[in-house]
Amino acid sequence: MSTSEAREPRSGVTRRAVLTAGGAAAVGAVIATSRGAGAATQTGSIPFFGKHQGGIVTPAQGHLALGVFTVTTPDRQVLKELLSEWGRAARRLTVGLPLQEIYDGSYPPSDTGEALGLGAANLTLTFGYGPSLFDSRFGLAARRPVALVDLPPFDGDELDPAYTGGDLCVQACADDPQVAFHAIRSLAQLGLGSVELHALQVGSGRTSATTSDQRSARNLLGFKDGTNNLRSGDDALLKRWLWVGERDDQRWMTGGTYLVARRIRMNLSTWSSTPLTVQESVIGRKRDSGAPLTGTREHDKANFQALDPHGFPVIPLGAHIRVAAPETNGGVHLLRRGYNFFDGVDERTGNLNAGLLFICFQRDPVKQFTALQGDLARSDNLSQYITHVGSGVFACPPGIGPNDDLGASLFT
Amino acid sequence: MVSRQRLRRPLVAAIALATTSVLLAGCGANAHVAARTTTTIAGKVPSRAEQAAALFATTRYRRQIVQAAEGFSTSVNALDGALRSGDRQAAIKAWAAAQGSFDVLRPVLLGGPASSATYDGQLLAGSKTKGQGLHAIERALFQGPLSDGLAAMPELRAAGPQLVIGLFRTILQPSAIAVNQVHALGFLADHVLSSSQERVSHRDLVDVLAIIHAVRGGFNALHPLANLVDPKQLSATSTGLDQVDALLSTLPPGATDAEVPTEVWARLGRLVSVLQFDFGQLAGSTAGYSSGRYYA
Repeated sequence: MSTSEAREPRSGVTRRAVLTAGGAAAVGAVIATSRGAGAATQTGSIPFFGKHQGGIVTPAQGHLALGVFTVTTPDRQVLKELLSEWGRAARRLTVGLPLQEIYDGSYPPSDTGEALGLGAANLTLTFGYGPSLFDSRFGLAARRPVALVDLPPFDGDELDPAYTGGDLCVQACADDPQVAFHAIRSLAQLGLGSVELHALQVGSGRTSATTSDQRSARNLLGFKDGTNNLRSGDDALLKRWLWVGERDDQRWMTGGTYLVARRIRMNLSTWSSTPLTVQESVIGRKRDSGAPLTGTREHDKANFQALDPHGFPVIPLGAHIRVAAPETNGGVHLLRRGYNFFDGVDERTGNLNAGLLFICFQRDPVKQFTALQGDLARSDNLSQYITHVGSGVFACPPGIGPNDDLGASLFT
Repeated sequence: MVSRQRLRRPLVAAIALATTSVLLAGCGANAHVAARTTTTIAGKVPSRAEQAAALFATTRYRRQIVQAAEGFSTSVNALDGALRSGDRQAAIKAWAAAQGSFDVLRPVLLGGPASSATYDGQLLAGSKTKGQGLHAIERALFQGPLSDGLAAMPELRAAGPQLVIGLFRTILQPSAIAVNQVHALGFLADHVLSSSQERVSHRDLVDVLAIIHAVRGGFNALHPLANLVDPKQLSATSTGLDQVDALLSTLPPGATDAEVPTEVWARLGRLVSVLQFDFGQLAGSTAGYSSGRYYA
């Protein structure tokens, strides 16, 4: 008997039966409603099924719960079944349905209940596999994409193992924080005995826009973030920089992408004591308007050649927008999808423990994030105001259809 | 287009970045800065006394930087000699002196390539690499073998004269001097107190004392000008520094991290936050006052 089987609830209605039969009609009905209405529907749901997973180019929601898991079962089949089960759970959760609708009061309920009545809140669940999943445990070594390798250490990294690495990740985004939390909690509950939650990071307040109709949001430094982000309509750029292509090394990843997560602590006390002119020089933009220092409006193109009357670049050499710009990085783009986080007070300094859960998606993290971050760590004046304290990279397979099992392509 | 090659030359780039930024920071009232920021600071016509005080600030602070660079170079040479002769105690003393000098320079180098990789060198958690720069030395001194430290020496030895030459011409305007103290204290709070820098020797007090000493130097440089333009803020800053000094004076010299009571670190962290605020205010008070010189 596998560990997973040993933990099957004895409620008379089995967990799997709940996810496959109990409520299937309801799922179908809601899915039918939401799929026909495009990305975000009036019912507040974003389709789980599709060519690509949700939570990437779909409109960025207001809240994030990022669950990172360690697989504890040594059994490949158990892992495969768990992923299938997570897929079935995701299709219910993303339309606002609980994991279970038929309860036997003699047993603890399968659904923990905190999201009842909250609706789907545009919940998206994005699944990813970490490099460590492709070690010797599950016979997946030959399936590891070349681009899926642990990120190298960067100058200034102070990584906390509690926020670093992981076999699996689930990015839950929603417009209600409790819905996002409930999703991760539910998946963790379903995986009891097979996986352990390694980290749960919660973010509130998106810092990036992923569609053209979303306005840029502000990070905790007070500046607009993600002004030049890739957006859902940039098809040519998305094809070039976001989605894994058919000619990339692993066919099962075609239509997928890679998620990089970095927990970035912002040294807010230092930033708050820095004059506005310096802050703006560090970023390369004006705080209020978000315009580059060479422009007047947020989306004005930055002029990196412009010099001031003293002959210095108007946008300093180490300004964040200059160092991060595609123009100075061989055209490299990322799709950013980050969130602010607030996590109490640093005991030793009394400073706020807060910052950015930087999440980005790309076609090849080695050629994109790693190359870019190497430059940022060396040359970005912003580096002295931030500290990277957590890190992870995950392969996010393509989306699935209603008759597909999550994870099936990985094991086929 | 800015040359990428230029950015990749660590020391030159670090100094260039620092110079550009501090110049910008130091010209808060100048028209060219006001034109591209969201706030406008009214221009000031400084009195003769203020002009003299601004010149004093830039000259005094430049001397502090150059002396630190020279001290770094001297200490690194002493370290090299001690490592070659196998004198661990002398090497530890020279390492601490070099680290102290570097801590003075850190805000001038703005956390760029020089500070984080070549000289300071993070010990990379979980990495198999032995690190670079002063932290590689630290590891060799406290974990051994001593000979491991020699691998990091060529870069460090080359860095000393480069720093002296590179920083010799740097002039920082008064407001930028104040901002540098914000940054120095930020490093102290966010990287030393919060997570420890000397993870092998467990002697973070080396960094703490060096940074506070450097901040005191910056304060002294600003003193005459701040006394003219914002005596109230000067007094508050002075009080804060005195409180930090008093707290640190309770610690035994050369104390290891374990010998520093937790409540002292916590108290220090809170005092540092207040000091950051105070220096930020001084940066505002002194904005627009310039020595009129941008290079020595």
